[in-house]
Amino acid sequence: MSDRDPSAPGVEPGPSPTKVSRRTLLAKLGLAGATAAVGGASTALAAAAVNDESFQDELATYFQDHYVRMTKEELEQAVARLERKAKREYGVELRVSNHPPIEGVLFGYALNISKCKGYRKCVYACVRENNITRHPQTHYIRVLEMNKGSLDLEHSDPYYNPESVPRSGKFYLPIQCHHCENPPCVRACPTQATWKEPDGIVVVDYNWCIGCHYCVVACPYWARRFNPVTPSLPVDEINLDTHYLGNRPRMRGVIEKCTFCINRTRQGKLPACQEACPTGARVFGNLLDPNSEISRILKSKTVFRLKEDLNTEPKFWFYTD
Amino acid sequence: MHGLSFGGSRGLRLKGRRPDLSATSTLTARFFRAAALGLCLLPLAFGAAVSSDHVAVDANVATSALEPLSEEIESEQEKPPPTLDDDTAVTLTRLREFWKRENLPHVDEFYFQPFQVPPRRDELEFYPCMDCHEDREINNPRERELVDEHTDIRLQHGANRFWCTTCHDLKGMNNLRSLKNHKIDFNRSYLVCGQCHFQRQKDWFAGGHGKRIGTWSGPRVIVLCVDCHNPHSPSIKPKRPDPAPERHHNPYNVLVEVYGYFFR
Repeated sequence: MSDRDPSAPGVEPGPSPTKVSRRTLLAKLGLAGATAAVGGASTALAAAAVNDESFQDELATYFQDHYVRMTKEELEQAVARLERKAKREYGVELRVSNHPPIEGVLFGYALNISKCKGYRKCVYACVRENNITRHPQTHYIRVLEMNKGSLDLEHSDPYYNPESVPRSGKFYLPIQCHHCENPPCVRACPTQATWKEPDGIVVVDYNWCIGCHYCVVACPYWARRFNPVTPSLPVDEINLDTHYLGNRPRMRGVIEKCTFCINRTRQGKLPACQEACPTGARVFGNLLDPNSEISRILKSKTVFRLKEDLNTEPKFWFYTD
Repeated sequence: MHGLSFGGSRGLRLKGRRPDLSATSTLTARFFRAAALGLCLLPLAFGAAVSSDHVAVDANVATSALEPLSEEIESEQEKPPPTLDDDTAVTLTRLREFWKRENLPHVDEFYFQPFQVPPRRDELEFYPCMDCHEDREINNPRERELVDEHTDIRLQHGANRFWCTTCHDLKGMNNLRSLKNHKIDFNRSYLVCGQCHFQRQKDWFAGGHGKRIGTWSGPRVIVLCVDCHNPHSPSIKPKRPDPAPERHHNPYNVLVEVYGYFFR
């Protein structure tokens, strides 16, 4: 951009040429086209814009293919573009991994509602881990305060804020994405931007999502979130260990959701909510391994799932002591 | 009671676990059997150091508890345990020896997964305790108010039936003790808890209670009871929850939604 002519008509030199975003660039390009039609004086400007790295990245991202159709090279280029973009926007060295699903693994989650005391530690650990926008506030996990003796989700209270929990007569039921085996959100998506991975995780290709909210409406578990504005992330709190299908910084106008911390669990680590839980209510593991903790719990405990009559087959169980 | 076999029927408990000695149950054999039981079930079965003469006596009489135990320790050493001591890796065979010795209910194999616990002993503030408790005069078993040391401990456990020496070994303060007065290492303090809370312990072995740390695959590492429960006051106190989420339909969020559709 150093060769850009500052005296070109209708163009103001920006404070930092490397911070020009896609929108402004496209707008400038359109403006330049108009000027060209009128005066034919913008060849220098167009050349400068096309030579700019951020513009090229944005253009390539705009025309990039669906995640499952991309070749290995295309995927590597997409990852490199994401890392360059994070460097430009936040000045951080983001690591966007692309770990494939592990063979013979089907992830499942079990949550002990006798143990959960509603401290909401998981909620904020999830926000930090998944680079969720702070403003407007978005949470993947919603802890419902329920009346004892009933599973009436309609009369539960997610906004409880007493001096101390647990309150008598209440129990706490955290809900997040249940990663259904038969996910209604996937069927609802008109662009196939969301799908179920072989290890059972339902993921979103943010570049393919058009933000139409169909999946939000289709989900019976209130698991999907929308970014109405560009997510605001404090630079010093950005989690640099990210996954392409998970917690990489999102753009405006796309749907996001819990991915069982795909950047961690595909490398053998435990999800952030499990690590943050101070009560040990959360159990994560491989459903296909008969010796895993979650398999033992499913065999030996009284377990239930939410809205089983919908035939969504969620892989998220609740159990009691 | 599925999964728990209480120690009432001796034949059931020993079935398939040990060689059948009934054919040679002469007086001598009985004597040696008693000697073997008595010796191998002393603290050496769980202690870190197994003295050689005990092994010799035991091996002469019967291929009993110690041989499979030593084999298992060796095979665990061959596998690379990445972060933790072998000392903290636990198998069901070793636990069964303890339960048998202490006359405690056994946990069924289905409910047990081999596990490791993070080493606890070295994290203790005052360890080794014998630095002070070597002095016999301060080892006072009488119930009293502690005024000089350990004044922060308020014992709220066991409804006034407990005193320090219920769980701490008065003769060797570096260890805990079982109710049958056997030494238990601080790294295996769950054995102390499991004497009363065996149903909880069963859940803990299976994964339904407690918390796994590190990885969901590979060696199973779970935290000790005392990582979450203060042993002197084990009930979890109520806490203030983290901030409640903003109301979904507050005016600010509606404004943000509207704004977001038109502007960046």
